[in-house]
Amino acid sequence: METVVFENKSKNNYLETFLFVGVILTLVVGAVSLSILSGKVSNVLIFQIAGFVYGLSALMYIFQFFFKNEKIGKVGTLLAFVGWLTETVGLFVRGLESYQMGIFHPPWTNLYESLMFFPWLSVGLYLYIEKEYKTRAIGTFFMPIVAFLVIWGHKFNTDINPLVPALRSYWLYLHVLASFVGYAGFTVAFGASFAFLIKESFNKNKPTEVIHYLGFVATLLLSVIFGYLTLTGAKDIKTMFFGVIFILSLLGFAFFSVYVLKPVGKVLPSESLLSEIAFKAVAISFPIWTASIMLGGAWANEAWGSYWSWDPKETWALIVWLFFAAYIHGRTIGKWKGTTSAWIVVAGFVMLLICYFGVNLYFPGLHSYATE
Amino acid sequence: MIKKVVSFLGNVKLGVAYLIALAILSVLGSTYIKQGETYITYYKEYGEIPAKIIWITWLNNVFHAWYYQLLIVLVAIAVIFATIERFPAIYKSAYGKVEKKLPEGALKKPSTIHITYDFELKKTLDYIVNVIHRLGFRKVEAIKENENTVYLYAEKGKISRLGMLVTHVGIIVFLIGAFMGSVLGVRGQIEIPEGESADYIRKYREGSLVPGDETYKLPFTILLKKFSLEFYDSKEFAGAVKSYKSDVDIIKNGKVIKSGIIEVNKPMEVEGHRIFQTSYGKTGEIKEAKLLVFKYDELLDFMNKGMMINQKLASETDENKKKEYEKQLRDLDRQWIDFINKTPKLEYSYRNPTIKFNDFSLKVKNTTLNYKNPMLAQQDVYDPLIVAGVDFNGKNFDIPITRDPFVAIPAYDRFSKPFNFPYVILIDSFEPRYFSGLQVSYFPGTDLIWLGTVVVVLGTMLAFYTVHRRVWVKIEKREDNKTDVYLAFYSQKFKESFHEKIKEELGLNRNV
Repeated sequence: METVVFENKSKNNYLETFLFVGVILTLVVGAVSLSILSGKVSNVLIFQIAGFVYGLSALMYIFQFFFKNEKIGKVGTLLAFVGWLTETVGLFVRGLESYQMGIFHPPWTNLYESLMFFPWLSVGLYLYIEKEYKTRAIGTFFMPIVAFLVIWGHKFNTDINPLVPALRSYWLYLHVLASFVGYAGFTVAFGASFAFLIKESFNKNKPTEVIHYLGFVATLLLSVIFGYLTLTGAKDIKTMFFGVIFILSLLGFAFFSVYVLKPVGKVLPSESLLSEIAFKAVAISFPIWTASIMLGGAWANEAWGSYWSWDPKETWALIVWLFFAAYIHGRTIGKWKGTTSAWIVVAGFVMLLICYFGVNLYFPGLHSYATE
Repeated sequence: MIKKVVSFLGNVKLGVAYLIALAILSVLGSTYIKQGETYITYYKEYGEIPAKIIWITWLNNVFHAWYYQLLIVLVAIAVIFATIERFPAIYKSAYGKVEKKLPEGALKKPSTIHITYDFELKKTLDYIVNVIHRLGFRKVEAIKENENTVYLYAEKGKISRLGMLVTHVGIIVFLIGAFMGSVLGVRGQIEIPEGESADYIRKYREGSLVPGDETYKLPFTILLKKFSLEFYDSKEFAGAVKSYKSDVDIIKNGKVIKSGIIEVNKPMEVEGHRIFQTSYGKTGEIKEAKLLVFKYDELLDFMNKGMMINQKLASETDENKKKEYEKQLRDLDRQWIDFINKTPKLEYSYRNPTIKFNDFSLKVKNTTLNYKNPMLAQQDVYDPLIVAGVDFNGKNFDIPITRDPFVAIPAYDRFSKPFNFPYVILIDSFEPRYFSGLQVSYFPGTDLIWLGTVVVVLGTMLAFYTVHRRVWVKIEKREDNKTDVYLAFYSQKFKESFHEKIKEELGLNRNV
């Protein structure tokens, strides 16, 4: 009996990767310089094109889902990638335009910019996960949301404005970037967890009753009505009440959807795979989210007088952190691989939405410059 | 008994419950109910009974409420006990002794992958070693049992198992820092007009960023030497404020111990106190002004000339003559500029309110940026006025100094004429005086906060960005060109994707 150790000394072959990255970079740089030098293609137009491409991609994802057609799926992925590249160009162009105006700042400083930047990051992350797990099922839920965000974002003020003094800091790059990576990861986790819940109800063949259909329609209506009232209402206690009802009806809608969308479970990948995708997305985002809160604290310690002020954004970031910390514990040690942890992710995602939109649009605070 | 207590306090389900409870309570603290207000405010806004409810349930200051603090303490206890209870076992399973040979009992398990290759043993061995290398394992140990059987074993990412310990230690360090800050911390603000100093701050009410009634005496004095605004260098956004800063001296026992600039995003640290630039505004006074000293008669002449031409112009109908008058007006404008250039000028600054001229002296008593509506000065709408005491020929009297000659002339009749004062003084140009809003905070334990959070970030990265994995393989010769391969693996997390990857690398997905 003898023991030998084989050591891996070979280097990977990076040539192919280099070539691919080179071509992509050339394309992006070319498009950016074309748009800047011609001075005719504004960043907003580029983002609109990206939104359109994402919309097409979302359609392809939905088609491939229902017709089980691999080729359409590939087109969907390709379009998602093209949309992502278009957005890359748009982000660079927007940054350069602000530079030309003498007020340079990175393209993630107000609500419009964040609504362009966030989909960019999450599509990047999603494409990675699609490649890793070889399933397009999540994209069917995910790409329509992305397309909606990018198109809806154009409802907000698209102008490039100078930064208020407090935002002029290098922490802006790190803190905001990290936050958005976190947002993106948690969103992917939500998609996977929601798909998991549907798959589970399909596998267990939970009976769908009339009450579920009724609940589905009722909560959908309530979500739309109270969502509208909350987002457009005055900033008072009544709106806060509407907000609570809105959140509850959203959760209710998620609950009934699991029953109503049961047939969809047929084409979803296995429960354990979906559960792991959710976990992987959280695992990637959680340290970054933590870092983002810390970087925000470091920034606040230079701009706002303390590392922590219980500002609504800070508090909601902490709430999201606590939810996902609970999820991680439940998932890894508590052995809640299934339903419970999936529901914690869904609830955590609702908290995330409040942290992103609710705080900007509704709660006044130190972060309120991101309102428009 | 002790074991029972430890395992109860470190119970994961309890910990998860704490975390979610903490999250829900945090929601309460960031609702529409503004934190840190006075009882009267809630009473006025919501009425008596809701105000009482808010007060009794601490909804006015959730984050400093006893129940919130209690939960944080419980979380800390849970973290400590869970670490004590769980970590030794984790450490043992990662760093303890491992059976490197795939046990016979594992061969039949459904999770064990079994493939038969149509190669001889040597070739199969090379192939499998290559597969394991590609899976990210740097070293593969081969144990040759006999001519027909070889065992392989590989391991990576052991360090990932330390992530839990590191993260939890970080959390405790962080909580200690946060506790120190919340007990010993002081935070408040002070507005200092340019040229003045302050040695105290107005403390914020607990739970809010609004100063209350309490003050806090600083161990030093802040002297604001100069306040300045910086604007964007952009045509489109001219006048947009880019930054603002205060040039200060820090004085202790009559000596300057530190001096420098406090700017937005660039605070100054003095004896553990951090001083931040947070706001600015106009004091409503004039900082500096250039004054013009006219002879009353000359000024009156000039103005009458202008008025006459204007009157003629208004009543004239002939276009040619109108043009003529307009030209005269333009000439007059030019003459006015010459006239002003020749007029003696006085410099006023808030630092030296006494100004001397040939035969009189002025002592500025009061200034305002807008005497008609002082609030408009904050929006850059100005109507400046200076009230100055005049010392002329042994007589003392007060005069108003404005920018508008049409106000100055009637005012002359009222204030200056009785004393035979021959001059009319006008404001030529002026600068508003600013105050600088500084926030001062003293938070011991901030270093622990940074240390703790950095450790938490590193710990979570260790836990989630590295994976502890082991692979056991048994390669057994069946016939000359038939070799059996049994592969079992352990992956602390992401089992599915690892399983997929193994199958792919082994060629199972391609039906080889």
